[in-house]
Amino acid sequence: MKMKNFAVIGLGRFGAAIARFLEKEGGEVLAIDINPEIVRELEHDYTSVVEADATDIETLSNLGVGDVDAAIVSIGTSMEAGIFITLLLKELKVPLIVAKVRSKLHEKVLKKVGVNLVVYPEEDAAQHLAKKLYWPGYSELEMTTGLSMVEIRAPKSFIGKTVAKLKLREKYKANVVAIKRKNPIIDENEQTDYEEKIIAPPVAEEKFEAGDSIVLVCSDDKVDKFKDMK
Amino acid sequence: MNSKDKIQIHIDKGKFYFSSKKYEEAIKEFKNALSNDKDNAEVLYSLAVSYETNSDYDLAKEAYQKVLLIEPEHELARSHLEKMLEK
Repeated sequence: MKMKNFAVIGLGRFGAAIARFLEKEGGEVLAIDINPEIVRELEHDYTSVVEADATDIETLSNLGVGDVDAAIVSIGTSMEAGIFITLLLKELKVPLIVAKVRSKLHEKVLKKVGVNLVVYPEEDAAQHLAKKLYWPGYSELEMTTGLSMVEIRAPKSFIGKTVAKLKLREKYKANVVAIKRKNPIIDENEQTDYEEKIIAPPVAEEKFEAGDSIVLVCSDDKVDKFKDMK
Repeated sequence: MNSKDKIQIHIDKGKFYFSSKKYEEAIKEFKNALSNDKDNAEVLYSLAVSYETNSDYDLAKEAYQKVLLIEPEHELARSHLEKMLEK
C-alpha cells in the first residue's frame, strides 16, 4: 500500500529536503518546526508548514499527527527532544516512525523507544558519492533519462510464470535486471530463516517464486504500475 | 503423547515443509502449534518468516510485530521487520 500522509518534524537541511521530496512525489506533508524564522523562510515551499512545539502531545494531536502514515523525526540539536517526540508519536499510534541519527548509540536508544527506521544522512550521502565516483554513469542515467532502477516485491500474480511469459518489456517497457530469491534455511540455532540469492541477469525461462523481489529498470511513468500490482 | 510433544511435532513438520519451500503447509503446521501455545515467540517467528517467503507481507509484518511484543529483544524479528518496512 502506498503511503500518502507524512509529518516531518524538524526542518533543518535534511528535514526540509525530505519534506520537499515527499511533496514532489505526491504526498501530503505536514512540516513542523519550533523555530519561527525557519518556518517563515519555508512557508512558501510547502503546502502545510507550521511553527509548533512537537514535544507537546496535545499540539501534535491537534495538528493531526496521529493520522499520518509515517512521521520523520529530524531533530539535529537535541537527542533528548528526538527521543521524547518519538515516545509521543508512539502514543499517537503513528504506524511508521523514521529518525535521523548521528551515532550507533543514538540509533540504539531510538530503536528501544520505538523508531522503526533510522537514517544516517551524512553516511548515506558519502556512500552515494563513492558510488558515483566509482561508477559515474549510474546517477546520470537516473537523473537525465526519466529511467529508474527500482526493487519491487514480485506480485503474487507473477509467481510460477517465466520472465518471458510476463512480457514486461512489451507491456511496461521494463527490463528485469535481477531477481532476489529467498532460499529457506534452518540456521545453527534450529531457527527458520532465509538467505537471499541474486539471479542476475535472469534468463527468459526463469520462473518467479514466492518471496521474490525484482530489480527493474523502467521509465519513471510506469514505476507506479508495478507498485500497485497484486 | 503429552501436549508439549504434539506441539513439537507440528513445529518439526513446519520446519520440514518450510525448508522444502512448501510454505502453505508450513504455515498450517506453525498455526497448529500456536493454537496450543499462542505466545510462543519462536513459533510465531517461524510463522512470520514463512509468511514473508510466501509473499504474504502484511501477515508477516503483523506476526513479526507480535513476536516483538512478546520478546522485545528478538533481534532476528526486528531486523526482518525493518527490512520489510524499507520496501
